[in-house]
Amino acid sequence: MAPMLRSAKKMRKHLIEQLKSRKVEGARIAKGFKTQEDLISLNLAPQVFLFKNLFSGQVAYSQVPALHQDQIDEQFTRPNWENRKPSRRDDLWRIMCVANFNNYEYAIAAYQGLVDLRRVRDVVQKKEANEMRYKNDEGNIWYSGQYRPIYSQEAVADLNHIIEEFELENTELLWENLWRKGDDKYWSDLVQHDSLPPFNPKYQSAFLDEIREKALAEFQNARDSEITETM
Amino acid sequence: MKPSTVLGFQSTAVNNLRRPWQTFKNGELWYGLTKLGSKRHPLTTKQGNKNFYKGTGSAGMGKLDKYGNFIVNWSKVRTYVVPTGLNQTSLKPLVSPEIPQIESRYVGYADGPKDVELAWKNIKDFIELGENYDYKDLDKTDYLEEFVNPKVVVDELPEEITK
Amino acid sequence: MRRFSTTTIAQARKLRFESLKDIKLRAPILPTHKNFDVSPDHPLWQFFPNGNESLAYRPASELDATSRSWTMSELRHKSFDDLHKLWYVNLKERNILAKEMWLLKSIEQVNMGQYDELDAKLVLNQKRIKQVLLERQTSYERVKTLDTEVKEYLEDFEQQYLNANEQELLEMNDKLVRLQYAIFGIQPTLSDIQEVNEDLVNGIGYVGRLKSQRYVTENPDCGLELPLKGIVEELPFLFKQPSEAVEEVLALREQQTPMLPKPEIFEYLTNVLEDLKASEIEQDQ
Repeated sequence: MAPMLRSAKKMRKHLIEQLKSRKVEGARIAKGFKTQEDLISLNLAPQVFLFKNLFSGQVAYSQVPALHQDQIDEQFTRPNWENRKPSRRDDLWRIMCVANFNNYEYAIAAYQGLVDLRRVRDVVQKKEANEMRYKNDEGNIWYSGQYRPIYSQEAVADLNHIIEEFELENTELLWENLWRKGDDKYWSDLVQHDSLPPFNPKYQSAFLDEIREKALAEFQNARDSEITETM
Repeated sequence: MKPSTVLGFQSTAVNNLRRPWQTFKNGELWYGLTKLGSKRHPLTTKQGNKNFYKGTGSAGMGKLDKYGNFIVNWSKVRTYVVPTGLNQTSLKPLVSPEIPQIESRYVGYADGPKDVELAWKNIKDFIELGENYDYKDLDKTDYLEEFVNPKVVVDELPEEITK
Repeated sequence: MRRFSTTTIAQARKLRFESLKDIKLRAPILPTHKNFDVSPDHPLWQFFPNGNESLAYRPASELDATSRSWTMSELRHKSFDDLHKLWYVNLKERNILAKEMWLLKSIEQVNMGQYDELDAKLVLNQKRIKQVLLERQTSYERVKTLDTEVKEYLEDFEQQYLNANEQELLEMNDKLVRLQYAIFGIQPTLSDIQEVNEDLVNGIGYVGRLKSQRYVTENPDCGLELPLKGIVEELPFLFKQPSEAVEEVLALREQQTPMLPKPEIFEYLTNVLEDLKASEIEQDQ
């Protein structure tokens, strides 16, 4: 290997210091819980985004088409060897489902409900949740490497749970793969299912931004038409 | 730098060619990646100095131009011709065990099926008789297919009959 | 007019879990392939032994252990197209087998013997097909070296053709078509002729000479003076009746078209053949 010039070494040291001082924690818009006023002022639509981790199969929820370290800290509280705290690496989080709700109240209720259910499964009713999971021969959650398919299935069940519990009518679920939706017998009239248009995962953030804009436009139209009807 | 002369008893000229103590102007070793470590393994494409090239045995479908771009030579790219009507054939990969095996015998032909005389004979018969020139009823011959050189038959006959 | 604000609507219904301990968790929803249709004709089904209705793999008992590979004698009887199809049929079977063997690698206690045996039979098939094609190629190349014998044969045939009577002539014409195909490589149908090479030129020359000689001996008053000059005059005899061909040649001679020099023969032939093929297609339509 060629010996490095002294000036090059110094520059390298300086850059590394600069990088370390800027802590990258994810998209800043995704930081913190968003109330209805926040969502409206930030031009966000009444949506909830479900991201699946390609490495471990765990699912993270977000009100915003991106993830932040805070959300991961909030949603993965009691880590253990089977349910480790996933890394915030952008390339490992792929969109699984986009849920479009009737209004901002429903969207916020859904997000809160999903996070609550996650707490229930991890903390409050740990035993009951573990009993429902598919096990391998040794009695542990079935895995292939570090991938555990049961977590995404649980997330789908939770989504179904909150929609039916809170009676969130007129929701639209856009699936990355309709296969994950499962049998139609679990889903009620409150939900319309559709699939996301095919996209290049390299530009996922731009794609999700487009989805947000589309949903926002639809929501504005729906609200305007309602207003004109009632007037 | 001049090569150092062979001084020790143990170093041979070949050893000296490797001279890992020598370097290029930018500091890269003359031979290998490191001066230390086991050298008893075959080199891969990822090792060696900047002049070491090891191919992978893959087909040469084009050339690198001087800018480093690979220009494909489409005449060297292989294409596979799939026969038409492949999904409608009644041909099967294996033969039923009930079907009798045909025995082929080549009498009087030194090269068997590749023999010149046999090939020429086939051509002449084709011209004379048409496409079914070599039709044989194998049931009658008990599944024995014999290709007999006409010269052989003539030679075997005793002299009185040929006259 | 103001609508009811959305907040008042929300307050009427419950939108928060009250007590986390009292929630009844739901069982995970399993994904299912029934959510999307796969056509039974999807090409990927060709990787399965029974297409749409097959399972992931065949157990060893279901494999065909009694059938045998094709023998060399059987394969030598097959045409090139048949051998081509047989090769790909074998290839597809091997692909199906390879997929099954790959799946079974994860199941440790399965004996792969049966699968390997079947694969060996298919490989033998493919090797034999290659061998047959090699034999045919070597025969062809060796026959190409028999110059003197071919020449003798052509001379004998010429004598026979010129001395044949009317009854035998039909037979001789059929034989001539086969001869021009076997020795010079000239296909019997015009549309099959793809390549223009030296054999084609020699073949046309031979056929032209033969037919014109016969015609002139039968009808000495036709006015045609042998020998024919070059490919331009020999070509009509290939596809037309001798009388029509002779007329064409006489017309050409009246126009005093010069003899075509050797370098231009191939170009001329390709053009004329293309024109003839095009006019044939028009006639069919």
